[in-house]
Amino acid sequence: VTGIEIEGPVRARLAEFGLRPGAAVMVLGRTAGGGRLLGIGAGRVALDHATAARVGVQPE
Amino acid sequence: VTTTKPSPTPSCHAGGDGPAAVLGAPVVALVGAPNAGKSTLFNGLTGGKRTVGNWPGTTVEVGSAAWAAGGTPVELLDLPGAYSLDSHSPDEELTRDLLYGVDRPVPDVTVVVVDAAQLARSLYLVAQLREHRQRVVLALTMNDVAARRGIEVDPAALARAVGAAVVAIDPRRRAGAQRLQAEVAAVLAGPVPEPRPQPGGLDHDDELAVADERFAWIEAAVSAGSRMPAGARTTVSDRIDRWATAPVIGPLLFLAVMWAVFELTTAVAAPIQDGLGNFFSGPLTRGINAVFEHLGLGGSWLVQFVDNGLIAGVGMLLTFVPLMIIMFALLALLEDSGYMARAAVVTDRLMRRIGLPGKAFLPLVVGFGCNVPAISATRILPGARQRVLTALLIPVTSCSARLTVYVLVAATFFPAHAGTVVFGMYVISILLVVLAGLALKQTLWRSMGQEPLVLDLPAYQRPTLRLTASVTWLRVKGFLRSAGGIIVATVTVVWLLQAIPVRGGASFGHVEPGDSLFAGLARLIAPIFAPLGFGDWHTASSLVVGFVAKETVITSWAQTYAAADPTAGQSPAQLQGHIHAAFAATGGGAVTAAVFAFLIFLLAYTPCVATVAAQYREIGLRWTAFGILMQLSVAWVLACLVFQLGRLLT
Repeated sequence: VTGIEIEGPVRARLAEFGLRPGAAVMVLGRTAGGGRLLGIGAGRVALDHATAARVGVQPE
Repeated sequence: VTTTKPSPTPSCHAGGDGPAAVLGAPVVALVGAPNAGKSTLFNGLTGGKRTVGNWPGTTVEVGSAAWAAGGTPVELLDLPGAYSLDSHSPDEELTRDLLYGVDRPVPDVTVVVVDAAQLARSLYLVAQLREHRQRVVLALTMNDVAARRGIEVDPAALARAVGAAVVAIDPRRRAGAQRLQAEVAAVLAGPVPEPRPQPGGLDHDDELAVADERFAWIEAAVSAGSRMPAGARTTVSDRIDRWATAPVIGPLLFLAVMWAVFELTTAVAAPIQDGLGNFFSGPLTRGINAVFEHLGLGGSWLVQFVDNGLIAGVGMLLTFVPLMIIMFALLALLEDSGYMARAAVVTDRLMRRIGLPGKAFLPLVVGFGCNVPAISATRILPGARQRVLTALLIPVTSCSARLTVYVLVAATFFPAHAGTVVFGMYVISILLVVLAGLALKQTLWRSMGQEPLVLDLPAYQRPTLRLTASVTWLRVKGFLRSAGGIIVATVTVVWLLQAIPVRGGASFGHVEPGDSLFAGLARLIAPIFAPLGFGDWHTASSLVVGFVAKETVITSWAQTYAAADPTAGQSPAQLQGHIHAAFAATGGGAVTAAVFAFLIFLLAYTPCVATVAAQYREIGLRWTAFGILMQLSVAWVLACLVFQLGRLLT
């Protein structure tokens, strides 16, 4: 994860899921509605389109 | 800051807490991330019957029960799930207040349920709790899921790293409870530990710095206490999700799953239901009448009450028990397997269109079982406006009580396609939720912000027979309890009104049905329903009675028709014959249109008094009154449109 352009409680919530700048995530798929399925460690999180678009990632 | 006080939820399938605790006993609180298995553990430890499901947000209130920690009686509290103590919604706020001792003393021991497969995520709460003087015990769950993913957790090493006892348990299979009991007793006997050391110079007002310090502590604990597999790997769960949440296929799969649930329910239950109905109307009625004859009470009003009231009304309702069991079991399977969270992802965009976050899908799905707990479940939503909007939409979700009437009507008029008609009613229910949501969003809540979806997807798990059976039984018991209470009361009132003559000069209990007070009142109301195609007094009155609870539509029908029929105690076929004749008479040549108008009206009008009470509790008098008015007018207008358009077309 290169950067997260979200502030406030949603950023905190993402951090609780382990989604922080510098974390390694797996992009597992696209969801109905244009969101993304992410794997962070053994956890799985679904993000909607707008939230996913604000999470910057680069391939390892 | 407003605090939500824990209070019991009235529900048609309410969960029970278990034995009450000894007053003044030490308090042990059970906390953890949503869906970590707290309620399953709570039930396993105390024998309580909290509703459990494999999706976040199942518990929105505090449960409490007596428990013995190695001989010491304690009060065990089951708190709503929280990832952290920074509250985002009322249920999380409730958890934080209890753990920080806002309204009552800090719990003597806090048992944090920690998901072994997601250690890092589960430990945030532990990091926060360990910043205070508190006794903490970690109950490590989901060890099987962790093992499948190649994660090895060393409880002893983890315990040293976090500075608290760690016990591996498996609440779904009731393993490890003894060890947990012993550990809690040992910790309770020991001193309250000092807070974990934090680096000097940490600015506690800088939220980011505080959070970073916690994450660093968690990372240290995770690497000390567990070993992750080298390299990321995808699991079976991920491969299923690639399809289950995918565009186009995901929504289609969701519809197929729901259709299968209702098709299976109606197809499997129908023959059992007929058999039960024939037993009630045949052997049972004859047997009871023979007993009354023997006692010299033959033909008395008591026989009338038992035959035309209890057996006709309550008996007819009891024939739906097999149907309830099958549907609740199938929905419990879906919940326990973890599919419900995927359904929330799939429906997120649709929910967004109507101004709600995908998370609001969860209370709405609960509404398809029973509206009452669904309205309480709106507490998982962060915004007050979203809670009001969701609570106003829930009554349009078609609850299982309405299902009984659909099945009866569909079997009467469309015997070959009953399952499809019933499924169609659920599709219409979903459409109504969407349309009502859009209408409210366009008018009352134009400024509704967009809530992002950040939803935890639990790993799929094989549902256990014991859990599915216990959830199913809990809900069927609720159905039976309401049949035993409010429905017997309604049946009695209807029978009394039917027994009182207003014309014809008959004596009490021997009135021609058309001459009773009930019929007199019903005839006054019936014209309201004439433009809708079902102005028959039997049907009109059953809808009025149905305001109490939807099951009573059937009992009221059965009662009014049973009284008219000398062969008291009706078989389902007889009742269906009467209903068929009534709609044929009032439908004016467009019977199908009248039937659909009736089904739509039934779907859309106020579900039951318990729902109204729950709404009043959650969103207040004004919104509740607004909701009732909206439901009644929408139901009438829609049904009128359906019938009048249908009549034009036929």
